[in-house]
Amino acid sequence: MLQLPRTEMYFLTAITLLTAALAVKLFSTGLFRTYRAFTTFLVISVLRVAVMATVTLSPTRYRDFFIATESLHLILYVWIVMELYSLTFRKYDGIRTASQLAMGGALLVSLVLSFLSLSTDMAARSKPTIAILDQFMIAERGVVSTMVILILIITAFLAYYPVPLPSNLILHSAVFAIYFLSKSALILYRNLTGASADRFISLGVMGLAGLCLCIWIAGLRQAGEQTAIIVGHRWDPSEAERLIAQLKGMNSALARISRE
Amino acid sequence: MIQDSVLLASVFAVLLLAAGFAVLFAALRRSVRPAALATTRNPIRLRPMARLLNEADFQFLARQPGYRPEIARQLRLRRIHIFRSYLGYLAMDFHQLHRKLRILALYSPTDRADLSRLLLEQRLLFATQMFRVRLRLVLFRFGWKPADVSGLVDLVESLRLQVSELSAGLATQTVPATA
Repeated sequence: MLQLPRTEMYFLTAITLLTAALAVKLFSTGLFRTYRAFTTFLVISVLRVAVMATVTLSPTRYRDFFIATESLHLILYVWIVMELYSLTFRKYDGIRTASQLAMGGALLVSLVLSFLSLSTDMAARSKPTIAILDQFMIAERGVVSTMVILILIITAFLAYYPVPLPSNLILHSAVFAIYFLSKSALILYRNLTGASADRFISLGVMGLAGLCLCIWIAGLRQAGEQTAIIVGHRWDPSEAERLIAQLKGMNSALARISRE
Repeated sequence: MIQDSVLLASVFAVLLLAAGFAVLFAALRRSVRPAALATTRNPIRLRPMARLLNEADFQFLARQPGYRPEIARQLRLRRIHIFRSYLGYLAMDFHQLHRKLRILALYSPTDRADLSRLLLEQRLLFATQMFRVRLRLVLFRFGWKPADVSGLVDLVESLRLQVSELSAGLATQTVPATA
């Protein structure tokens, strides 16, 4: 059975109850059909704590269980973010290719940038061999930072078009941005200062998760799925071709001016 | 010491990312408003701006009796100031019109990868050209030949015409996301 200091135990209990409450809200409002990955994440989080609370594990087994379940969480993070934006882009046929390129490009750029930034974490570990938990924390920082940059780039793309988004999706993206950014900063601090900061980081991440869960519970609503769209325009193929030809002409003229 | 500077750099990076998110989420909230397609103010006539930096005016001034170099310098500075205002309007008009074209591309019933690519290309070309004009404006202060803005003015006027043709009869409607 899980043995934790009193403060951590209170935090964990509160977070688990909030997670369960949010999952119940998603099921009762029918939002679980839209946010399948997120609902799966919440259910797995509750089950994880239930297992930890009922099964007795040695410290080594506990570490392995933590790494295995946390890895599953990392995979779910990627699924949640990709599902969130795929749902939005699927409704706009006009930018299908552009959005696919944006998603793929954003994932690639965020992976490269965040893994480049990991040299900071690596440099702080001067020992020739790094403990498994330290290795995992470095990898976790990489994945969480990837999510931060990914959300930033996709949000920029959404703002560029500008894609009208339901308020639930804006809330979801904003809370994830806050959560991933803060978690990434806390793990980076842990990786730079060493395991002595573990308790502070653990409490920080739990407090942050609790805050995000409260915002989700208060903010996610069935009515928040409505979105304002533009009606009345009828694209006919000849009109689209004419626009393309005119834009090509304008761009050629602009390019010519730039060369002069 | 090195660790302190790394921590400081990390705090700066986190703050920068947070500021980026704040700006983008504010833009996202604006984008859902029906005003995104509303007709904006009456367009400013941009043609006169091309004449503001005409070197012939300064040559004419130099031939006048009682001419002093300070007069030409002051006129140059005043015209640069007015030109900058026009340039601001030009950029604002371009961004508004370009945004409307992006909205129209978004609502196309078929995939318009070509339109998306052209719009992005146009935005980059416009930014490059604006940078060039602003740079030449700085040099114009010291007597250099100014950049020609007639191409940019033509572009904005063509865009205005296209957008007004394409956006006739548009309105916004609130629907469930699953629709």
